[in-house]
Amino acid sequence: MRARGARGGRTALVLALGGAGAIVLVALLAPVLAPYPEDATGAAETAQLLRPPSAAHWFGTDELGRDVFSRVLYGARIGPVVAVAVVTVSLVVGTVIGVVAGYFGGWIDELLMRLTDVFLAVPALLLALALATVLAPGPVGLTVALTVTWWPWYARLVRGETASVVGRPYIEACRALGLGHRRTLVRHVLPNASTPLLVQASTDVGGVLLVASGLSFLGLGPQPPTPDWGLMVEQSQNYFTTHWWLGTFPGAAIMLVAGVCFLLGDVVRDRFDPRHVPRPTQRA
Amino acid sequence: MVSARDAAWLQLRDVRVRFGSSDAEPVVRVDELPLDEREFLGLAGESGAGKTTVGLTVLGLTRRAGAHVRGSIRLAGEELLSMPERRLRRLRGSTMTLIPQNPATAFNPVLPVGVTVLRTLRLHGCSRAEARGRAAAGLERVGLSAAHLDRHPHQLSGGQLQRVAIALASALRTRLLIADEPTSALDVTAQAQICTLLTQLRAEHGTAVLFISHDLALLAGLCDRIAVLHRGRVIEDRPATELVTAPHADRTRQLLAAAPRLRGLPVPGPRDRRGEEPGDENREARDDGYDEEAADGASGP
Amino acid sequence: MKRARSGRGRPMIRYAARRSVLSALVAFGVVVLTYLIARVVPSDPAGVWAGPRASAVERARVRAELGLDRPVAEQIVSYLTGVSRGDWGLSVLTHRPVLTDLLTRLPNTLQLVLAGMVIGLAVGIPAGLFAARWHGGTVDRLVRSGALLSAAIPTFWLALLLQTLIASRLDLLPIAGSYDRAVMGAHPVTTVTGLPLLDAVLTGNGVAATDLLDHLLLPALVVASYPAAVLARMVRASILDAVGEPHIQMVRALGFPERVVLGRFALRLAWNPVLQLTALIFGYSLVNTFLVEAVFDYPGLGRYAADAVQSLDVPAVVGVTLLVALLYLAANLAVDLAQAALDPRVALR
Repeated sequence: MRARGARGGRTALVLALGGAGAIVLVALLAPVLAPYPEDATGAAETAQLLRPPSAAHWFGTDELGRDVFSRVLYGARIGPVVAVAVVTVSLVVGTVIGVVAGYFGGWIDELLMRLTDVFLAVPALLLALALATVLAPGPVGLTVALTVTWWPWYARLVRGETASVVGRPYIEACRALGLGHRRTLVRHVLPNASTPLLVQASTDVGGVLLVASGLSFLGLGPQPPTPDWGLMVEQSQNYFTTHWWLGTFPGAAIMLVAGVCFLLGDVVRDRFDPRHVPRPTQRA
Repeated sequence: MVSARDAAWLQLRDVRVRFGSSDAEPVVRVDELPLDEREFLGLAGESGAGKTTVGLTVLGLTRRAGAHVRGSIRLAGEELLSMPERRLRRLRGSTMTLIPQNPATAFNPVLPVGVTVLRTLRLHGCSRAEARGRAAAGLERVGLSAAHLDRHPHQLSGGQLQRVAIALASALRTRLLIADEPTSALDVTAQAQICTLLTQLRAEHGTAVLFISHDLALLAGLCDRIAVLHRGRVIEDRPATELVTAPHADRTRQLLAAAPRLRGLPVPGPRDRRGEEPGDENREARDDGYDEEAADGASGP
Repeated sequence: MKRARSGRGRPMIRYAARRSVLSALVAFGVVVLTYLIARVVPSDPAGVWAGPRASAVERARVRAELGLDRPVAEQIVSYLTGVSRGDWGLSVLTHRPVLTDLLTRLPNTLQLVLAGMVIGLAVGIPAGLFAARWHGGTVDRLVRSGALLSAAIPTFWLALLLQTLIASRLDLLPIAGSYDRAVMGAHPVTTVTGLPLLDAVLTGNGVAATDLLDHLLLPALVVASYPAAVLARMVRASILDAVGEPHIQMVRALGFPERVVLGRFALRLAWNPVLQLTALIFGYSLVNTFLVEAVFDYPGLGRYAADAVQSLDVPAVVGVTLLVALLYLAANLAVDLAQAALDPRVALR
């Protein structure tokens, strides 16, 4: 057990951190890195339609003559950003609800947990799909829809951690000493719950990206001409057989980012909890 | 001080067990440790002395845990350390087996104990009917019945589970038992029962037992010989009575001092009080005595 | 022996009852949730319900029809009674009752999900087992990176790639649809279970079965990708966790070969988490088929949902949501009960 992948662990760590760093850099520096920044949203060039990958256009050009490479780089500012936003907001909402449920227990706990049960009973992609249908399509609607579906996972996780911490003697002592609820929670309960939460969150950014891209693919996310990866794959469908580069590169970008997120989650988990056995958690 | 017995049934010679790299400090360095048929050998020592590792090495289970083993372990004239895994595996269970430290965790929690018992008997060549019969007979011998085969581990007490383990050894007609602190997780009554059953097993099948424990009082009451292990070395190996009445090594004296029932009391003869012996004294001061370091290394892959 | 059985039976029954009641409560909650999505979240529920092309008069009619002018509690009650009576609304797109639409498409989707899960289990469990058996080695590394990749691959993209490569370029399998019209015309399948492929096999209709299988294979492979990945990871981790346990040491000491030690004794411990995971995977795959069906033009729930989404057919979308959620709940309940039967400690918790 101790020796489990010690060497492989180092490689995975470097890969995960390096990959995450590279993705953040690409998102930040897209305007600088992209050879044709104006192609990100518009600028049809009829002279350059559907050109295969070349030195001038590394990933080729699309049906409007736009540089696919530039658009894929800009895509790092959409899907991943939505994913991070969803996870962050869900984390906050879920933590508040979970801590309240776990700390106070009793009927509050019962009520909140049954509520999360209801949300968890609907697969995330489906609930988000239904919500995204009634909300206005676009990145904001997508983020809202996904957040509504994602918080219960954190609520349940935090509730479990909190409930297990609350039983421990030092928390009883805090209560006995008359420390306020808020102080006890913030100082003593939350830090204990943060590690599993962070592990879950880093994995989830990848999971949310996949679901968000799926929704985009169904037309429920950002609308054209936004260079969203899921949308780009969707728009490439009609050309896929003859012009493979249109959909292949954006799809590969999704896979790359999701893979790095999953790897990061694994690495963080191995660091903090090497004996962990993954419990079934839902990705979507 | 060690009496050399070349013709011993089980003979450990120059055994070195290392974890990690092959030039690491050995966890076990036993120059000589013989065990005859029908003999009860107590293996004493404090936590981390390497007792469990010695036991698992005899069974050939330390190498799987990444240990480097050198030296010689001969059983009935056959060298175990150079034996191919396939043959060694056949000896396990049929010729030698383990009586676990904590019976509560030694049975698969999601299977009825009977599944393990019957599968083991079938593995060692019994037909379905024969396995049933032998298992039932074995269980009756230890005061249980065939009905206990259908129970899950959590439905049986530690003592009952340990008796199932002994019943299995008896049904397998196992010749050598490596009993790794088999009573340390049990209450006093169950402990006494287990010790009695082990001696009965010897009477019936001529079973030899390597009884691992840090509790010299228990060993003195049960064993013919006691070997004291300290940092992987045998520092004293003598007849049980002799060892507890007139210990040579300081470590042995310390171990004796830690066994409250022997302090200032007349030392019992080896066999005359085995049944009721480990009874009346207070035992809460006693740690689990599990060789944590060694066991940790031995159990991980 | 008798006593042991009945001693085990009573907590089991109590557990089953408790789980069923909880599931019913959650199902009720899901209905309320879908109601909220359909009638409360949108700014103009009547407009959404009537469809984007409805006139003002039509909207007013729908508003009255849906009872949106009545108190919310009353609305929920009437929605609930409607749903429980099978009145799931009319589809804006097909102008037919949503429930009828759903039930005609469900078998195709179930068939796809089940096929995907069977492949996922058949690949994932052995892969996890092999990875654990030679853990740290090449096999392990391959399985781990394979699992990471197939969990990270976007479903719709994988579907497109396979469709283009295998169906289009290599022409090995059909590009889309669930059957060939000509084949089905010549060899119609008699309905037995409702699942077309199973029916064709059961009635000995070899030609139709082959055709159905050809159409099912690629989509099912795509659906299987995620289940195989998570199952492999789960099985591997469960086995590696069990390997340190004393009872594994014990069966080794009893002479079992490593193959049996891991494949029978250690894997047995993984059954429960695997089962639990299977319910999750079922729910996930059910929804994942939405993307797969969209690519392969496979006439199931997912295609229906995708079409409904495209035309903002809210009754249909809500209907799909409700149906899938109820199926998923049922699967979870079944798994909970199966778990308690496999590991009696579960019922005692």
